[in-house]
Amino acid sequence: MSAEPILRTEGLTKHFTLRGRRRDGARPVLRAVDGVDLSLAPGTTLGLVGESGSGKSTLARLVLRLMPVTAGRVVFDGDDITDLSARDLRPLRHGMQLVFQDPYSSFDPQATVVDSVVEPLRAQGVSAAEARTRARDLFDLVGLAQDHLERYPRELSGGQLQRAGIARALSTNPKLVVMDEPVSALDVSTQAQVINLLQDLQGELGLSFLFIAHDLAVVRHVSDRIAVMYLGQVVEEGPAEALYEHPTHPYTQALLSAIPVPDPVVQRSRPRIVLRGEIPSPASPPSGCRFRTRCPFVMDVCAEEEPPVHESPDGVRTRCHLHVTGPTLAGASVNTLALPD
Amino acid sequence: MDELLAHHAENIPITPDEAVEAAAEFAALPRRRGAFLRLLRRPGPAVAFGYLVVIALAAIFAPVIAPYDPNQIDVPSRFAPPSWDHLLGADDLGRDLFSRLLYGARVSLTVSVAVIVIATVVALVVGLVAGYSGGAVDNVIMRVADGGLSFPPLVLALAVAGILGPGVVNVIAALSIVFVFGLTRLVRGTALVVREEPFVEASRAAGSRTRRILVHRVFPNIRSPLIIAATFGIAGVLLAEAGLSYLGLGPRPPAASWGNMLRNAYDRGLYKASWQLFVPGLAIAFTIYAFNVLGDGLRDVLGVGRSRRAKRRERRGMTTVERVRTPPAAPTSDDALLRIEDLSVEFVSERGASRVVEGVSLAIRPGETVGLVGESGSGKTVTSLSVMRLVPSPPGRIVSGAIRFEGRNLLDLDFEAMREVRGTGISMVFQDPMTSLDPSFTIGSQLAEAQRLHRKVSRSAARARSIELLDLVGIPAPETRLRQYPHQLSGGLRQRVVIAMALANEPRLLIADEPTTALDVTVQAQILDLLKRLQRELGMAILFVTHDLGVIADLCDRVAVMYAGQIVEEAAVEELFAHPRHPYTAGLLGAMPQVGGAGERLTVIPGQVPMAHAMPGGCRFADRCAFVTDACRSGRIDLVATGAAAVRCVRAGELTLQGAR
Amino acid sequence: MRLVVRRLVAVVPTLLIVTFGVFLMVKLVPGDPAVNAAGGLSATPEAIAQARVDLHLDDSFFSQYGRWLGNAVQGDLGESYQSRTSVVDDLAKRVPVTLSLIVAATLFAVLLAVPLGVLSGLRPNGGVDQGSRVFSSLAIAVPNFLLALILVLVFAVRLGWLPPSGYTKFGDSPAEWLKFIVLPAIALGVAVSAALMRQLRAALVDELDTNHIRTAWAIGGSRRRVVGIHGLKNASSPAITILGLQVAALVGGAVLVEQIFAIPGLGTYMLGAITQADLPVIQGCVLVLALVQIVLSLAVDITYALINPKVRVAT
Repeated sequence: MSAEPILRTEGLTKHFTLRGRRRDGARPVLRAVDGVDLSLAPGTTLGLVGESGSGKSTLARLVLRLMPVTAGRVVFDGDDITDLSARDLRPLRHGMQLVFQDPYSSFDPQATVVDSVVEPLRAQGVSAAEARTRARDLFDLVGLAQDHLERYPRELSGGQLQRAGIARALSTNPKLVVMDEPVSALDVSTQAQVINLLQDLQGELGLSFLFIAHDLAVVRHVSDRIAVMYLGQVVEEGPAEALYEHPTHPYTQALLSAIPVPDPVVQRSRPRIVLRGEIPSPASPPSGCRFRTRCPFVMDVCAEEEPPVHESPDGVRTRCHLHVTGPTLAGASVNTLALPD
Repeated sequence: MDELLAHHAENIPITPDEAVEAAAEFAALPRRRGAFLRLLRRPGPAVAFGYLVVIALAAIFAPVIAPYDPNQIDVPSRFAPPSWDHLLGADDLGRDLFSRLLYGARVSLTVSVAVIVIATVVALVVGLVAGYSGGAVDNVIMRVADGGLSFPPLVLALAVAGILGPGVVNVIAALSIVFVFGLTRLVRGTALVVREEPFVEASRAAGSRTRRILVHRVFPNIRSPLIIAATFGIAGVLLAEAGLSYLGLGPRPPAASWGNMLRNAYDRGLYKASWQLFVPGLAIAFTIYAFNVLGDGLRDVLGVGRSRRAKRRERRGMTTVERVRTPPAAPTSDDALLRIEDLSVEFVSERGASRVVEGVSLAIRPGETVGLVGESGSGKTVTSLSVMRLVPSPPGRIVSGAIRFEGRNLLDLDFEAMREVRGTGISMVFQDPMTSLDPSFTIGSQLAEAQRLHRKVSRSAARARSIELLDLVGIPAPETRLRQYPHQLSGGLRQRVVIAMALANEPRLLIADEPTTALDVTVQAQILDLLKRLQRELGMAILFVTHDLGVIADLCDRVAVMYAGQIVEEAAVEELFAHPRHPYTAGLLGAMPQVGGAGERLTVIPGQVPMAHAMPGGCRFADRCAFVTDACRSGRIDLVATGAAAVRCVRAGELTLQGAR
Repeated sequence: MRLVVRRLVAVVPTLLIVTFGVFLMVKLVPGDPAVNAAGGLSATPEAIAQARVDLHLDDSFFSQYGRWLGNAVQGDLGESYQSRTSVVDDLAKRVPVTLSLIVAATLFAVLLAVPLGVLSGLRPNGGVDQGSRVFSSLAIAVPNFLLALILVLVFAVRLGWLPPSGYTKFGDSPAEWLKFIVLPAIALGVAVSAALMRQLRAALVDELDTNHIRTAWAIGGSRRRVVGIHGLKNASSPAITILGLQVAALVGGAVLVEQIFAIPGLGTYMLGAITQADLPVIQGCVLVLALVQIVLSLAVDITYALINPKVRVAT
């Protein structure tokens, strides 16, 4: 990547201190995000995949600086915004916007749709009349009728309101839009409408997306690069196609094999990897490699040492001992390994 | 009157605390324009409001209206009964009770309104600051409020008023202190809830200033609960004020207040003229009642009140059947385990009945896995619940059809007979494992119950079987799990427990309604594998309800696609995915992003699913269909069977549609 | 057990604030307490000065609070201005009386509310439900002191069935106690029972629409099991919460009801002190009544935790 990234994080970390005490008297700490390095090139989409408890939503809030950072850095468009105060962030906010998962709860039920849509503009000091003109253009852009402007959120369908949510995010001509599960609350047919709209908008406006979802198929569909999160860490990151065709981390491999393909012929002939157990609590992650408790290829070293990041020649970065220890894969796809019984 | 009373008694909170609780439910409800006008269109609140206006006017114009000076002593009229001279009679000193009642109203209303205004304003400022800023400020404020609420309100008011001495101003001061704590807690609690709402986060992400967020986002969402709590609060103040002046801590004698009139009537007239008790007594009771009715009405018009829920009928665990069409005759020979024929289900609401399932027919053979797929609102869940007669009635009712299970029509069974089928012949697994188990009972006791409902089983045999079942569904260390409560288990484990309960009596049919939707993908894969293995081992039939075509492709033999309450296509699973015949099926397949097909544009089904109460005649998919012709909109389109497949489309014969890629 | 300890610890800051509030209340009284202590307006300047020293009125505010709190913890709340008797001794005699009234009223409320609430919840809009709604709406509109007056008028004055006022200790004669306590307990308990009844009904109606009740039907549960076991057990938690909230109303209402029925409890004691501006007594009464409320709320809270596995058993 030659261009300066629009968004870059280095060792980004967020720990929440929980109530109560552990046996040893210390306050339990929830490691929601733990040392994440990401980079998003302008005009591209970085997909962020993970199951519940992986820390992906917290990461979204961190890069937008909607909460304080515990450690690490966030660089937005060349500016280090890690320690900026709310006041100093305000002038930068027009460049970065957020689209929410649930369109209904992300719109003030007491306010008209247009009132919420123009809020980012108003916060930048744009006059009410000017903001309203812009809102009309935005509604055209996202394919909503003008008479939806004055309605209340409850009067719109989920798909329509999510379009309004996108209009709100685009109102200030942002460079970066963070999408936190923007289509998971929608039905399949509506979901396709919104995904196509997002792709069109990116083409027209040259936007950069950080696209967060638990649905790998959706993420694969929209992303240039993909990062897979597990228990607060990025376990694998790389170009979308490489990552899907040749996953280098056992978790990515398992995740891919877990999504049922809507074609019985393909689906029933695929090899299946069913992981043991469920994702452990981020308040007490396993020692060493965090995935080791569910990993089919687990080795002794995995419990003892945190795996180092291995970067393959085609730019896939993986946190897994398989690439550096034992019968080393050295960046080759984990698909080449036979599954142990 | 009884009916009116019964209607409004439903929702009136008794203590300010209860009002706080009830009002807190109203955070973040949609604004309703013209709420006040709609309030007055309701008979109860309208009468209450009218009464209060009259009382207020009477109080304001008391000097003009009152026939006597309220303090004028007239010994000959002692205990005079009501007459034209003394409308409500006269007290022990011959003072005119009607005049005293009017002047007393001035005291009661002044105190009530003043206290509520003071307490609300203080609570709003303090509560908003505490709730929105959080942290140490919040901690200190809430500790103080908790401390304040630890005093019984009346005792605190008595002490303060007692120390300050009698007098209207002192009563206002005392009661303001008492009421401010509860209201502060309400404002703060609601502010905390609102603060966590995504729309407030959206405002922060938009870069809005804190003050703007408080004024434009938080405050409007607190307003409704606060108005409701304040209205109920007035009733509370009125009650407390009457209590204080009954105890002699109100306005200094001889000035009248309702409370001291009551005291006077009791002390002086109990044996001679006991009716005098009722003059101030009824005034107090009516006024409190009126404020309560008003608060109740506000709650209804400002949000979805409890009273709407109160219209519910008894829950008898059985969907009612009220047929408008005769059921189809039983087929003479039938290899199907379950045969749903012409099933229609209606939901009855104030707007009338809407038909959410229309003429659904579906058969499942023993050991077969049938998928029922559709988007939200397609009627797939209602169809599956109907088989178990578990659609809640009201609002649901089955209006046509037959559901034959092993030859018996389940729609003809009474509760006891249906109960025998549930859990033994047909079992069901639901979508949300987090709430599907009773939180108050251990896993072991719920598993044992599932067995003992149908067979006489000894305690130890039930336990042994429970362990066996948990083992069967792949739960490690079953003995420990038996002693645990549902909240101690993860979602995936809970769903396994629900499945174990469903399997307890070896049913012939398992209905699984979106059993993996609430779970993570890796856990979903586990549960799907489990279901496949169980079916292999136990040989039961499965009806699998889902919105996910991938899941259907994974485990079903046959699949039926539902759209807007109807089955639009049914076929063997390979056939349906390879050669969909209904444009909606093809549309769904094209709209799903696929791991293999990145970068391609998704096919889009334009528009929205029609609403259940406004179904188009003819084909229900016509408005969204790319192949629509005039024939599609003219008259009813039937599901046409050809061999093992069926499709509800007039152009099915001529269209060739794109299947799975 | 750990849970009980945790709850007890959580009460400590509340207690500090309550005691501070009680102390502050008296400090804010207009007038000089030294003048009062020295014998009122006729006191000599020397006597007043002496009283200031005796009462430590010249110490800092917080050291005065500390001393007062220290004494209170050791069972010394000072002497009544009027009778010169120990406030703590007087309170000790009256606490059991007030408690017996509160317990009787709670019993009455629960015994009335549980059957009516359950029946209403099982058959919403049925006969029992309609009837209890009318009852509860009346119970809310009529304040307890008004109800007390009406009860006296009807049952004591007109019918003469029960004494209009007075009290006998339960220990002396349970039958006599019952005779004196019936009317006050009803007057005090009616509103509580209305709240409880309504909460129980609403909780039961809500409960019967939950997912786990649907599961209970789906495994073939009988009506008795689904409604009577699963429904009722889960509906009892919110009902207990409401009972906890009603404790405040009970304690406050007891003051008025005691006064009307001339029951020699904390309420009458406090009201007497208010008319005579007997500050140490007012202070003691407020403190003890607040303590009664805190202890009763705590008891309800612990009961709630005990029947609710989510609170009792940690994940």
